[in-house]
Amino acid sequence: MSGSFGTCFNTLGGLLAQASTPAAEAASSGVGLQHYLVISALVFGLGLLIIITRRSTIAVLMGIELLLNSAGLNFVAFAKYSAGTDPLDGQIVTLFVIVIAAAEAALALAIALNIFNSINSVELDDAHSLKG
Amino acid sequence: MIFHDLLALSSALLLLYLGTRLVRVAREGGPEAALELFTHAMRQGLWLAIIPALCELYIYLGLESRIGLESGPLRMLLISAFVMLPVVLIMRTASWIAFETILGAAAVVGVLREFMASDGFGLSLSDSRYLALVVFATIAASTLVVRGAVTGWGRTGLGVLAGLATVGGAVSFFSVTDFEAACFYITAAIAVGSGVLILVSDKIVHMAFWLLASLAGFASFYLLLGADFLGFTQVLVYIGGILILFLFGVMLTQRVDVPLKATSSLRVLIPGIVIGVLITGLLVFLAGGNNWSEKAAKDIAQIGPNAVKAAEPTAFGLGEAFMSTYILPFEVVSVLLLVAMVGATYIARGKSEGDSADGADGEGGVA
Repeated sequence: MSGSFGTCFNTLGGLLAQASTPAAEAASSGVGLQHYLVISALVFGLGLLIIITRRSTIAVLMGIELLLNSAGLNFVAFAKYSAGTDPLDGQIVTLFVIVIAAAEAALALAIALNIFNSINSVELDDAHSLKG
Repeated sequence: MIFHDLLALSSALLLLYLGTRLVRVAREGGPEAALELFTHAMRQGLWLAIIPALCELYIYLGLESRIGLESGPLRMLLISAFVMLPVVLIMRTASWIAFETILGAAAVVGVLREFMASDGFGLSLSDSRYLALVVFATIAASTLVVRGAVTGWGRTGLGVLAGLATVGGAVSFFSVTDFEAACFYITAAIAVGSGVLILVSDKIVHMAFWLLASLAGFASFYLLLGADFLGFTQVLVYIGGILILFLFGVMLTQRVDVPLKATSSLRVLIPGIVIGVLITGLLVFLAGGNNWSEKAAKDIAQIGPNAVKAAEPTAFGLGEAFMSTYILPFEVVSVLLLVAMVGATYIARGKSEGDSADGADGEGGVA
């Protein structure tokens, strides 16, 4: 157990040292693909935690929006920083993600509204019956 | 470095203030009262302010060189404690705000001084992306203003100060020297910090407003990546559309008589949080552990160093691609939107009078 923790800590330390060395900063501007991926992973984790810890349907939907956004950021970042790729391809995928997220939000909120009309609550724990 | 002088000074002030206050309480009410005040303050999150203060003094006095400990991990601890400050500000009584004011104000002044002292920023506002970045920073700031007007200025202002202190710590730690990287770190602080605040807010409307700030941060990310059309679409669709929809959903489904329970029961919560944190850690290690920077450096060498600065408008290329290469997904998505619109209208329609009488079926009122 302590061994794995130690490994984790060493990896983290190596990461930090790598991020703080001037060599990693030197490439063109200080920000690279790695930075965007780490931010995206952090926001993805936050969205996941929101989905897990919240009871309200609407709060869970907010977490899902965060997940979709972090995935979209990954598409754009990868398309920009990969050789031989048209940056527009990643942006188009993210545009589709935004459109589908809009449709999903509208439908899910309509369902939440309907559940509220039926059982007078939007909490996930209360919605355990298929028959309204 | 003036930043460290000010930070150490503010830390000393913080510890001095705490000491004198404890002594005064002890003289008035005896040692029990002082102990009670101390434990109460610790429980309210004061330890998160004391740890960075002690670390800062420790580094400032040069103690780490005497026992052979590098200052990197300690500075990291300091910065992470600053990152935690907004969380503490949410769930803490107002009596300890003075501590954060002292810490945060000095940090902000230090950051400003360092910005003015260094001339490494090639600040050219002719680039419209940076202007747009300023616009989105204004959007995020106005969110804070709205929240401050609604819920009181103390915590909000201090949250801003703590965020700025985080940025200052990151700037001094990573030795950021160019404007684009500074923009990236500020945007990252907005996006991730608002995400944390969504997680810890206890009211759904507050969550929606923090979601606005986080989405504005993502729009800034898109602009930084040279995707101007995508950034503006993010603002139009997400902030202008989806978020408003969320606010309507919040307003239409709240009951005044039942207080909202924010979190699930512990039986669900604890394993859920463990799994969530594990997955997050795994993702961060996967994203950060691979040597992306080497590959990216190679790629930047291929596409040229001006790829960032000389980004051209993308709307023309996007429109052409939608109408040629991606014509089939484009049409499918338009049909999907139509179906979603009709479906949402059908699902969310109000019940007519006959419905409540014949119960759960819900079909009686139509036709």
